[in-house]
Amino acid sequence: MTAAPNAEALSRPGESAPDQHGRIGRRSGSYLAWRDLVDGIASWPLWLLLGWQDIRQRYRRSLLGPFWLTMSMAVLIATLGFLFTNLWKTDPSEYLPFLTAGLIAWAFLSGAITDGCSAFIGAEGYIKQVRLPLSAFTHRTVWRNLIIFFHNLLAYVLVLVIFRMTPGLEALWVLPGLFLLGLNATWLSLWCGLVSARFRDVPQIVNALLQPAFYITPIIWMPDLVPDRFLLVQSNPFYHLIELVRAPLLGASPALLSWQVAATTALGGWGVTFLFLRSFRSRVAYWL
Amino acid sequence: MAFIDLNHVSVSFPVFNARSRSIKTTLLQSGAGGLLNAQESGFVQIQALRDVSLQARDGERVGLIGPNGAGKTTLLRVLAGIYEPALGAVHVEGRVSPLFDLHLGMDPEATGYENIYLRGLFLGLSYREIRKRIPEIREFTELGEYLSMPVRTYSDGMRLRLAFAACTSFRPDILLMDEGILAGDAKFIEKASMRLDRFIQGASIFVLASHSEQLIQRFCTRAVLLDAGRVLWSDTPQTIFDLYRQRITGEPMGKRLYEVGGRGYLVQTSWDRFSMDGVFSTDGSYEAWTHGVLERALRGPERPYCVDIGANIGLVTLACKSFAPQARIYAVEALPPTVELLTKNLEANDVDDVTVIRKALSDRPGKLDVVLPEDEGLGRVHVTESRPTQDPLRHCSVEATTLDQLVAEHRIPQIDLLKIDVEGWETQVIRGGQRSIRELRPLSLVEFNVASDAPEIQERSFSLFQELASMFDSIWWINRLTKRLTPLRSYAQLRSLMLTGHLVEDLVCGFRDKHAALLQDLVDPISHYATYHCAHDLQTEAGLLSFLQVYPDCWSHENSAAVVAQVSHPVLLKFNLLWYPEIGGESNTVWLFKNDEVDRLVITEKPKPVTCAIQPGDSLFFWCARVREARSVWQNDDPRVIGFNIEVLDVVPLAD
Repeated sequence: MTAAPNAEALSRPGESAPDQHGRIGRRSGSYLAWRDLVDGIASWPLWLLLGWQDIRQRYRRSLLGPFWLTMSMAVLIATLGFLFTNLWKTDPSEYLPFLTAGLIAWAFLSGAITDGCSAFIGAEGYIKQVRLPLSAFTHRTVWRNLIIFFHNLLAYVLVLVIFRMTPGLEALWVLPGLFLLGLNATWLSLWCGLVSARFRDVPQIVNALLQPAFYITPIIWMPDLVPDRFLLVQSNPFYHLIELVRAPLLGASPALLSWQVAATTALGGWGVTFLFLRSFRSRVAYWL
Repeated sequence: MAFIDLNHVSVSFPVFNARSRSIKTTLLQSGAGGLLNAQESGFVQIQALRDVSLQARDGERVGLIGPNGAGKTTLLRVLAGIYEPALGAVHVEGRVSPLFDLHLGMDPEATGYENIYLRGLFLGLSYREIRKRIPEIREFTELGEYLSMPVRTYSDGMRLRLAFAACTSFRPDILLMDEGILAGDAKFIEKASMRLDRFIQGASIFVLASHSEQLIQRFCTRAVLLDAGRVLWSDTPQTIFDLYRQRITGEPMGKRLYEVGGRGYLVQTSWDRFSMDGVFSTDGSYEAWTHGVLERALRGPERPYCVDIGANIGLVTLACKSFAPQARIYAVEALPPTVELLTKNLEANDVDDVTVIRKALSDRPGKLDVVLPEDEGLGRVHVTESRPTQDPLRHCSVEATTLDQLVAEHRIPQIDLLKIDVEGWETQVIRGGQRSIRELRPLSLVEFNVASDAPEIQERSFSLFQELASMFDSIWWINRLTKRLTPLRSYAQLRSLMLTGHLVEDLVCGFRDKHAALLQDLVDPISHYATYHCAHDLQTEAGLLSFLQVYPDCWSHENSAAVVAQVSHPVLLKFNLLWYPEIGGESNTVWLFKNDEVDRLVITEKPKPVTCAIQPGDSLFFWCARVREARSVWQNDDPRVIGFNIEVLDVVPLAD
């Protein structure tokens, strides 16, 4: 028995030519987390397609397709609008646009968070087959919810048409507002996805918390109704996040405080999420 | 240029059950300072890869072979960058394309074209790159207009064609493939084989995990045998499959994998004429229990010297090389067929700096006659000084020298490890090496076989033990079950170990000042259960009798009987030796070993009291050839039958 001629190219088990610190090809966790985020954005063709596919798969072969989103939002608004204008004796032309703008902004934020919880769990098949940046799957969920947002936006246009209103140029604030909201939604989604992959109770906890958050945030009720505005309104970061989109849609620029709060949560949230990503990014494949 | 470089990679998976996956458990644990559920806090880790090193360069086609759960898929995923290992380093250069699942990301609701794009995007290609491939894919799949239809309208065959074409139209630098891909539709694969060949040939490096010999033989130039997460061996596909088959079926085939410390060595165990397979009657890890000792002896010195006497086919030599590649090794083996295997095995494992000495060792130079028994292979060779035999094939005359002469001849300056395993000739080897052992003071590993009670074997082992005790100042016994060492104080202790059901086959001999610290962590804290348990009292009759009740086996083993007496302070034991009542009437001899002193006691019809002083640390051992006879008479009626009994008359404390 002689050794195979090409044997030296593949390591012999007994051979020891290792780097003592095992550092070949090894990069710091921060660098790899950063690369994950950069590559995640760079892989936009993939997550744009996957996000679209998610929506289309849901409504494929139905008559209205994704416009069922618009329809169901319109039905919800009509019902809630009828109920609460009668209950609170408010002016429908004031209450309905407020309700609609708030609901669609909330639907985007809460959708991104709840979907984010299952972003990695649901993508197990992909994650275990191909190396892709994790953040691409978060972008996919946020993008998917953004598509839903735009479909819902049509319901708002419908409301505007019915009440013959125009928001005016102030409505352009919706673009930076939506961007900042999206930035917040993305870190929330990413963070939830990372934690949910390890702890499978987290999606349930998040669901349980989002429900009361919806009621405590002025979305179906108007902030003027409460006497203590600070406690129930100003101290609630969700209020400010919603305001970024709702205020422009209603024809006003968001308050400076809302920008400040949203910017702060975005910075702090991304900081924390980056730390999580640095520590747990490589573990996600093992947890799934 | 593409390459793969894995260095000492280990991967382990956490296995979560619902409990440890829940946040509640984690919170509760941290809240209670880790005290709560202490035993449940550590979730199970499965070690999927252990210390795996693997290199592959441009043009290599590597097959991964191993049983289910060997770590093939995990290794592929590490190469694909999906699992980042906790230990070790992975360096992969080139675009890696993992092909584990043809239908990955295929959306039945999307059209054929959309699915092609999707697949391409998963492989990290741009839209433009994908668009360029479309005509070629359309041509191969022959789907034509169907490509604009949702995939759900396709037949299975069409779907497979589309998936296969989409996956194989992009040329990766490094292609990783799981055999599941090719297992699918055999007919289709045959049809698509040209495309597959081209695809595989197009990759710079190809890694295929498979059970299929046919696939590996066809696509791979080299194969790697994995087992339990370790790379055991890498060689040509043919050799690896031979080894793999042989590992599964256990059939002898001449080549075997020998494992030392998680590494594999290829050894050839059969020669044209003599079958050596008996040597590997266990699991191919013959004498693995001695590795702890080898490792400690060789890891200390900068350039360890090792003399392997009775090197056989080279297992200990290879183990030594694995622990200390720089070691200077003298492998002494006399039998021509064995020497041939030894040199082949060294060559096959690229070990070229071992001095092979084709001589036998004895207590004086000259000629030795060796008889190879027909039925047992080389594993049980008898060495005789001169025993004429009719069959020249079973008889050979070998040249003998002494250890002292060998050391002088080769100017061996030091010996860190001396291994002696020469099938009953150990005493002569030691006698011929007295000067070297006294001067060089090696740690020695001596085969010591007392498995038989045949008088000549007993006599031989006793004289070997005496010889060892006179040369070395510490003797340890290797417990094969615990792989730990027990210090032996006397031959009686050794016998009692054997009689209480232990297998005594290997002794480690050394020098207290030099080796005690070296072996410290291997030494069993509880020296021997019998001595340990009865240490409290043998000072009373009740104590002695209760000991006998606990260890009835001590009394009924073949033709011997053992009492290991360890007392807390010196006593004088006064006793009668009696035949088991019904046998009585005939006088016979019982040998009493106290430490290494032997007393001949005679049992008479009318017992004569015997006295014996016992010091703390002493061992007593009674041996009588008549017990076997007694057993055959009585075993049907009394399972605890014994040939003789000790009637304790008195136990008198002695002044220190």
